[in-house]
Amino acid sequence: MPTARAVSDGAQPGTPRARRDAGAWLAGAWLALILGFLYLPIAAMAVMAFNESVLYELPFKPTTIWFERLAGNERLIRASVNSVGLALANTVIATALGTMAALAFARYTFRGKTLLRLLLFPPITIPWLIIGTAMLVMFFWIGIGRGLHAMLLGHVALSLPYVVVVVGARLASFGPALEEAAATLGANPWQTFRRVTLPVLAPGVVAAALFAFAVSFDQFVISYFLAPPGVSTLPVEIYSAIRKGFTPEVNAISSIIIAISMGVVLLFARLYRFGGTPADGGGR
Amino acid sequence: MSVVEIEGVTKRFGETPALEDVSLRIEEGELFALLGPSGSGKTTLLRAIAGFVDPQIGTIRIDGDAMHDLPVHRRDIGMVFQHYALFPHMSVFDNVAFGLSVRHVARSETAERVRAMLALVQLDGFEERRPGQLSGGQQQRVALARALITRPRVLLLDEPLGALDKRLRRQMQIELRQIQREVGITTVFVTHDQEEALTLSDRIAILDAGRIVQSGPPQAVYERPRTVFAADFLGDANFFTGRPQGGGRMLGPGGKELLCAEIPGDARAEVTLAVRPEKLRIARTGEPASGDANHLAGTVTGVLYAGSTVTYRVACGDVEVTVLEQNREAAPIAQGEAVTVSWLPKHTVVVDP
Repeated sequence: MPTARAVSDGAQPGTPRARRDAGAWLAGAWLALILGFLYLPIAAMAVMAFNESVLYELPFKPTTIWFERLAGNERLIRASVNSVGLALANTVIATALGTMAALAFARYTFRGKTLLRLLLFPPITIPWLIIGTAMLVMFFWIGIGRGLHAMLLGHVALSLPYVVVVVGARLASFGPALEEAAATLGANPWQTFRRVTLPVLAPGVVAAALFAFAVSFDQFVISYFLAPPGVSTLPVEIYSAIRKGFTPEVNAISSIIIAISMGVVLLFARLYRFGGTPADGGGR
Repeated sequence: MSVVEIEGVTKRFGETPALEDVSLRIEEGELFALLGPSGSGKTTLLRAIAGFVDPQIGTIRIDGDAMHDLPVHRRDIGMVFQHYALFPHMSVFDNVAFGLSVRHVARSETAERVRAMLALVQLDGFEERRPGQLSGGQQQRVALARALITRPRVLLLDEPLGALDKRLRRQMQIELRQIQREVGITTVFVTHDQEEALTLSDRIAILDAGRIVQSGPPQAVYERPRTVFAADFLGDANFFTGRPQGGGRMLGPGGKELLCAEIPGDARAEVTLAVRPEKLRIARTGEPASGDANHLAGTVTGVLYAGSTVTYRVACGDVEVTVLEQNREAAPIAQGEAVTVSWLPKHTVVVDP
C-alpha cells in the first residue's frame, strides 16, 4: 500500500513526498472505481452464466447447462453466424476502402479534399437511430431494400470514418520521406507500398480493422432496421430474447463474446506494445 | 564530363517562383554544395534533380540522359534525407540492402555488398540492429550506406548533417568527404551552413530567391564575392558605399579616399566595396599603424572576446566596421578607445548591390 510505504520510508505527512504518495493512491483508487463500474456488471454476468438459477438466485450452484442449451439454440447460433460473417465482411471492405481513403488524404492533393475530410466526422456524431432511419428510407427508395447486403452496406458506411481516422493518424506519424527514400533506391510505387508504406502502417491498419469489426459486431440499430423478417444478428437476437424473458443463455453467449473480444485486444496489445511501434525510428 | 546538367530550369509553386532560370553543370566526382537561406530554392533544386519536383521550364540531364518524365525510381540516384528516413521496421542490413533487393540482386551478392558497404561506413557488426537503436551519427552512416550501395550516378544530400550536434557534425564532415573521395561519386549537397559548404565542397553555388547568385570553388567565391548577398551570406563582410573618383579611388566614410583597382572610372553611379573582417587590422591611435593604403580612424564600440579570436566593432564616422583579430595581444583593445582600422587595396572587392 502506498501510504504504508510512505510511513515506513519515514516521510512526514505534509511533506512533498507524502503528498505525492497520497495523490498517487487517490489516482489509483479513482481508476479502480471507474474500472469497477465497467467490469463489475460484466463479471457478474459471466459468473451468472455458470449459475444454475434462472433468477440470479444465490447460493451459487455451478453448472454448464446454459452453455449446453446455447448449443441447441438454433436462433442464437444463426444470429451469431450472421453477426460474425457480417462483421468479417465489413472489416475487410471497410479497412481496405478506409485505408485507401486515408492514403489519398495524406499523400495526394485533389479538388475538394478539405471539404471531404470535414464531411468524414459528422457521421461519427450523428445518432445511429437517425442514420438508421435515413438508410432504411433511402434503401427502399432506390430499391436496395432490406437484407444482409443492405446491412453490410450500412455497416461499411458507418465504420469507414473510424478507419480513415485511425489509419490517417498513423500515416500522419511518418511523413512521405520514407516513401521518397524507397523511390530514390529504385523501388517502384507498388514495391514502395508493399515493402515500406504497408509494414509501417500495419499497426494502424490492424487497429482500424478492430474498430471496424467492433462497430459492425456491436451494431444494433442499423441491423434492426435493415434486417428483413427471419434474419437477425446477435445484438438484435439478444434484444428480442430479453424482451421475451431473460434467460442465462444470454449470459452464456455474452460471456463467450467478451472472452473472444478481450482475447483479440490483448493479442493486439502484445503484438504492438500498445500505441504502436515507433514509426520515426525513435529510441526504445 | 558533366554528370549533372541543369539548363534554364524554372519552377513556380502557384505564383511564387522557387527556381528562376537556373543553369548548372556538375562535373564527375565533384562535391557540389548548394548554399542559401531557407526559401532560396536550394532544396527545390535538389528535389528537381531527384525527380520529386517537376520544373515547368528547362531541362535536367544526368549522364547526358534527359530526366524529363523519368520517375524517381528510374533515375538511378542515391539520396540522404535530412532526417535519414531509415525504414523503422527493417534491420540495418535490410535498410542497406533495400536498393539491391528491389533490383532482385542475388542473395549472396547482396550480403557481400552490404557487408563491404557497412565496413566502409564503419558499422560492421550492426547488421541486426534496428534504426531506433542507433545514435544520430550511426543512423546517418546507415543512410549513406543505403544510398551508395546501388552505385548511383549521382548522390544527393539534403542537409545531411543538420540533425547532428556540432562536434559530431565536424567528425561526420571529415568522414563524409573521405567516403565521397573513396567512392568517387558525383555529389550534390544542400546546406545552409556556410562553413560546411566551404570545408566540404569542390564548388559552391549560392542561391537567393530561386536564382544562382554566384558559383565557383569555395576560395574564389569567398575571396571574390560578386554581390552584397554573396559576400554577406558566405562569411561576414564590411561594406562601404560611395562615388568613384577615377584612378581606382572612391570617396568613403568621412570623406576618406579608399583604394581598390577594381573601382570603375565612371563617376555617375555609386559603388559598393566589400572587405572581410579578418582582412582588417586594428591599432590604437598613436601606436604605429600597419601602413596599409586603406585606413579609417574610429572608436571601438564593442569587443567580443572568443578566446582564440577577438571581434571588434568600430564606429568610423557613420559606418560601423567589424574587425576580426587573432588574439595575439595580452590585453585586447578596450571599448571606447580611439583606433585606426586599415587594410590592403587587394583585399577590397567591388560588389553589386
